Amino acid sequence: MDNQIFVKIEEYEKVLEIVNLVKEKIGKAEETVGKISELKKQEDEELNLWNKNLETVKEKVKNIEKELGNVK
Amino acid sequence: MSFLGFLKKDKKEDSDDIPMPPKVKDNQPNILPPADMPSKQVHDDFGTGNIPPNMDLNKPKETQKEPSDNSFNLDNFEDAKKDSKISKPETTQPENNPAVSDEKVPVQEEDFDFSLPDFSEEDFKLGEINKEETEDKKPGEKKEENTNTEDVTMTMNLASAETKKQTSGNKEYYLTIMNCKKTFEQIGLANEIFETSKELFQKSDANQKNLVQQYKNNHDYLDQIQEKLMEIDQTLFER
Repeated sequence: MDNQIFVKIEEYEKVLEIVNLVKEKIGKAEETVGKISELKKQEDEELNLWNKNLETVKEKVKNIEKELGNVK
Repeated sequence: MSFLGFLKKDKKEDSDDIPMPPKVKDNQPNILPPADMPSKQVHDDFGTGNIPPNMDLNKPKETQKEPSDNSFNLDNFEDAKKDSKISKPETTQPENNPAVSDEKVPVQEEDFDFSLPDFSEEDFKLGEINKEETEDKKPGEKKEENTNTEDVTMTMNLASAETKKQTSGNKEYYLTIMNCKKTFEQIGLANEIFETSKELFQKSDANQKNLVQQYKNNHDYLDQIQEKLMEIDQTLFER
């Protein structure tokens, strides 16, 4: 352990600043990813709702068709 | 009688037939003019009036004259050679220009050591004493020296302050090789993750565009369905 070789870091403070900046950007990216996931959830809910509505419309059209067929 | 013997005999006979030229010494008294006759003027180089012993008086005068410029003589050629040999170094000798001599000087000084000699404290003290003496002698120069020394000390102080700032501001940081390797690996992994996430976002962006188009199409279908239903409703209740 005494004979360790060290590597000199030039512009250490600049590297620290860059690391902090990267951290901030990662935080913002996490926020945007969270927003996207929320939007996706809403989208999924909307899609489920649309599917349900379409099913109801489909049933009603079938009923209309049945009633019109009985008229004939 | 051998063949050579015959030749020897012939040679003897020939030598008998051909008259030998009289020797100079033998003929010298005959050549000399009588005392009454005016003697021929012989060219005397040294102006002594004596004729050199080797000089042949029978020879024509032109041959005894000094050779002209166009004549070719071996002795003269050798003399000319000697002259040329002597004169050559004069032509090749470099001119004693001061510029040439100045250029040679630095080549000789290449071996000089320009490093300052080690001064002891006594030398410095001596220098200070000499300075004081000169200051006492020349008060006019004293002011100039003071200004120069002040400038030098100021510049030295500034330089030392700059170096202190650099040392205090730029601390040296070191990492072990293992930590350095780990950080590089982590940076590489992070870059890979970012690249993959970038590709995913690009794909999701394209999907979103496609989805928006599908939503629009769906909206249109719903609109058409609603129109048709309205038509049916109108037709049913127009009775």
